[in-house]
Amino acid sequence: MKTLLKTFLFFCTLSVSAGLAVANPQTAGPARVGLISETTQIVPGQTFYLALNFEMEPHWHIYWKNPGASGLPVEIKWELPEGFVAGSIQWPAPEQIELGGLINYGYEDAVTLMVPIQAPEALTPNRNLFFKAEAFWLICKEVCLPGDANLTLELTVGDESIRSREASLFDDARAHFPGANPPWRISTVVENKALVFSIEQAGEQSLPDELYFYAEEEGVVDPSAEQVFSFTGDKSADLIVPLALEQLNQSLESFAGILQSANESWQVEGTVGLETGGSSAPLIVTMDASKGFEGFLLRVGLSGWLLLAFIGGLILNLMPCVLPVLSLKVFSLLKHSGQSRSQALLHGTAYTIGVVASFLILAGVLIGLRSLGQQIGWGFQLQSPAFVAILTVLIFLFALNLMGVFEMGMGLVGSDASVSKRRDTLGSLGMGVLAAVVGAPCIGPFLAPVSGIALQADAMICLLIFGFMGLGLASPFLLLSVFPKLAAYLPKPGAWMESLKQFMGFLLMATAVFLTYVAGTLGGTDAIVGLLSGLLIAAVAAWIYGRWSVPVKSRRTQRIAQAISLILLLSALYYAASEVKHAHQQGTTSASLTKDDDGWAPWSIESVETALASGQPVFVDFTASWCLICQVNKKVALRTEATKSLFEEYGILRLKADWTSYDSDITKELERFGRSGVPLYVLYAPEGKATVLPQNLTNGKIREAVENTLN
Amino acid sequence: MNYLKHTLLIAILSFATALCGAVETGSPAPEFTLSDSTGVEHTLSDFKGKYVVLEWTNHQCPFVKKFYNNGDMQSFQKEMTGKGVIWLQILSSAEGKQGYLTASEAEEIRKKQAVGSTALLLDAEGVVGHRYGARTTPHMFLINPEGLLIYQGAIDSIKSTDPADIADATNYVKSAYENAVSGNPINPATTVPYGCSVKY
Repeated sequence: MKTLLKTFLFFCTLSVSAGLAVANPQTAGPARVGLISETTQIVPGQTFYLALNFEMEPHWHIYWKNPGASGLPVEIKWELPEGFVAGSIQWPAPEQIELGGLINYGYEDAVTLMVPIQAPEALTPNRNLFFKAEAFWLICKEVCLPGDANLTLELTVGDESIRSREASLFDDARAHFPGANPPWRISTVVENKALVFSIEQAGEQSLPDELYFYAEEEGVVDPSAEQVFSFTGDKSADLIVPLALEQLNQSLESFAGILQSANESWQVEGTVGLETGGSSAPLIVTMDASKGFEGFLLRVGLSGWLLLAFIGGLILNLMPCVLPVLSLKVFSLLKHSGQSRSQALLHGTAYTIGVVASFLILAGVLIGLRSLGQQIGWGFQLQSPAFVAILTVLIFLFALNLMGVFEMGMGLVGSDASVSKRRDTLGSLGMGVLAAVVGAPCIGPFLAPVSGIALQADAMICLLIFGFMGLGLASPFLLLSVFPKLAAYLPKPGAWMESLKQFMGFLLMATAVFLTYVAGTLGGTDAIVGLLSGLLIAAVAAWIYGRWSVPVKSRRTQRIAQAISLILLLSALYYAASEVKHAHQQGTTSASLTKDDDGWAPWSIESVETALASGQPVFVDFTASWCLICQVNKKVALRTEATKSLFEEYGILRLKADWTSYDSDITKELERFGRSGVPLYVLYAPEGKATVLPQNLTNGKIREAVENTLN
Repeated sequence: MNYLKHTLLIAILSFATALCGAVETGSPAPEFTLSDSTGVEHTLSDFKGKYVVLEWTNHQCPFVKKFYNNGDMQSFQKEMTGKGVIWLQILSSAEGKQGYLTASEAEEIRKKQAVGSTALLLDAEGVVGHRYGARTTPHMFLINPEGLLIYQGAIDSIKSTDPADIADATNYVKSAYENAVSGNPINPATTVPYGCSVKY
């Protein structure tokens, strides 16, 4: 009876004080609760913050959104003036509160629970508005008491947001918010009824001595079970988080919560089996198609990466830029299949050395540039206009050679057999170099993650990975040269060889066309004309060489022909390179060649952030004109009517990050996603989650990603 | 080497978890013997062949009061025991902690509240509470006639201290029992319990 009376009186005081109070705290049992505002005025159309401020007697605590082993989270029911919308509670990082061996998650002493409130555009100036919050909570020490309060706050409409006296409490609360993302690389796996975080130092910030994971939802991890944090290396550690009983019979697919060290905490979420985090990157979720693979990739370790690099190199043989070179090689092997085993082996080895050495040099250059702090990525050679021009001329010359316009070697070296052999070996070596150079930019979806790892790993691992990629690329020929008998299964030489050779020439011509297209995107029409003129001069050089530098002509004629064609060739190379470069610098870039972009705007970090801040999702197409997969994706998925209407339906901002020419911002963004090249397709949700789409896009995959991320 | 260390750690952890209780749903319910508020000893295996409900309680916890103050728990207990179910309340509050009762005090409260359970067992040492991983009051467990734990977790689906919510909530113990009796799968069979912490 006495308690009843007390309760009655208590509620009387509450309702009386509620009517009068403007930010006046009320005492409810061991807690004092106040409704406070960060600003004294409401500005129409702006978001402002209200908060429940709890002050508790010593050792009493209230609960986080996941209360842990027992308890209930704080709840707020709002009664707001018309047009105002309240968001959800912005919880500061909780602490572990132990009671008799059970761990609860909550706050002791004092806490400020902020809630964003969106004000409508249309408000009468100087009007007073009342904001009512009905709060419910459970407060415990040894014992638990439910509490509730009706709180009202009066605020004025104004045109300027002025900080209130309580604003510093909001600053304190923000200081206790978990950071956006832990500064380490994190992957997770479920093992033996535990969620295991493998944490690896990714940048400057070293790993802490202690780490604890608070799951955002109840029933995922066992709050009372001990979590073990142990180092597995200098810069890596495991955090073992036993799962809750409720979770044991279900498969845990994703997790979300807070990682907390002794003095810092970070928001973390992701898909089990996948890497998350790393520097200041937003949370990255990768879609199904590549998730299994990439997750697997992170767990296979060095030997796995080397194997993958090897297989990737092997597959590179089939890529459109390598295939013609490969055909050349098959052809030359056919030519030599009559030779002795040791000679075949010599060619195979030379070719392999050529390929591997090129890859190693490439890796070395990458490491060097990386250590110089330059932003570098795959396919970067094709961003250099001069490189594109010179490569086109060389490919074109190869084509002419195959078509029989001129023959290399025989006339030049006469009948000296030993020199001829050496020439061929050198030729094999050169072919290997060429295969590597033209093959590198073609690194497809398969190699992208491996080369990504290579770029992030230390120098030795990077070299190893690239070396194995080269071995993979060279392996078919090495195999043929070690087992020349296999070559015997190849067709017998004959007149058909000449036809095949000429046909290969057309394939190389096609490669030249593709490179011309690349030059066009770099420097527009001027670049194309400049390059084609260079090709014309090179063709004349080849023709002169083929017509007059042959053994039937006199030695003097041959020399003159060689001199003229060399001069022409050099000027062709110089002219093509300088023209394309000049056109590129003139800035008459792709604009003149690419068609209207159909709702796609150019990418910039600012445009992404602005859109996300205003609540608009963003889709970014990281692409380059020399990237074939990008072009295919563009045709079959990105620029289809279905996708266009999907993007419009969800109001997604479409941005195109064109990496055709080198761009340090784009390179940085690619690296943030662990990539060293394009394509990369990312869908950013307004709340900061980013979904990486697979590299082989379809309308369906885009729809799936959009629906999963934004619904 | 790292892998070995890692596996070992996990193994030790799982073992530690097993020690401090938490029984997986579907496995045999741990045996215990406790005396009740009238001094009579009860052993779990004595009730083989019957459904047994275990209810962790603490008469001063607001979540427990939610169910007892208006007689909701009492009528549920009577409904179940009327069907031949054994209902054991277990009090694991340690001496000096909230909710601790001597046998005579416990019996007095049982009478006053007209509790409909089979017995109120006293577990001031917290041994049985730890063995079952009981962590809240109330925390409910249902054991089938074969002695297997078939449900554990919350009493119902609405986490609050407001008695008005009882009518709208799904009673998980009731639905688990009904499904078990009619041979249907029990879903959910494990839920997150809510309430005050057990005052070990």
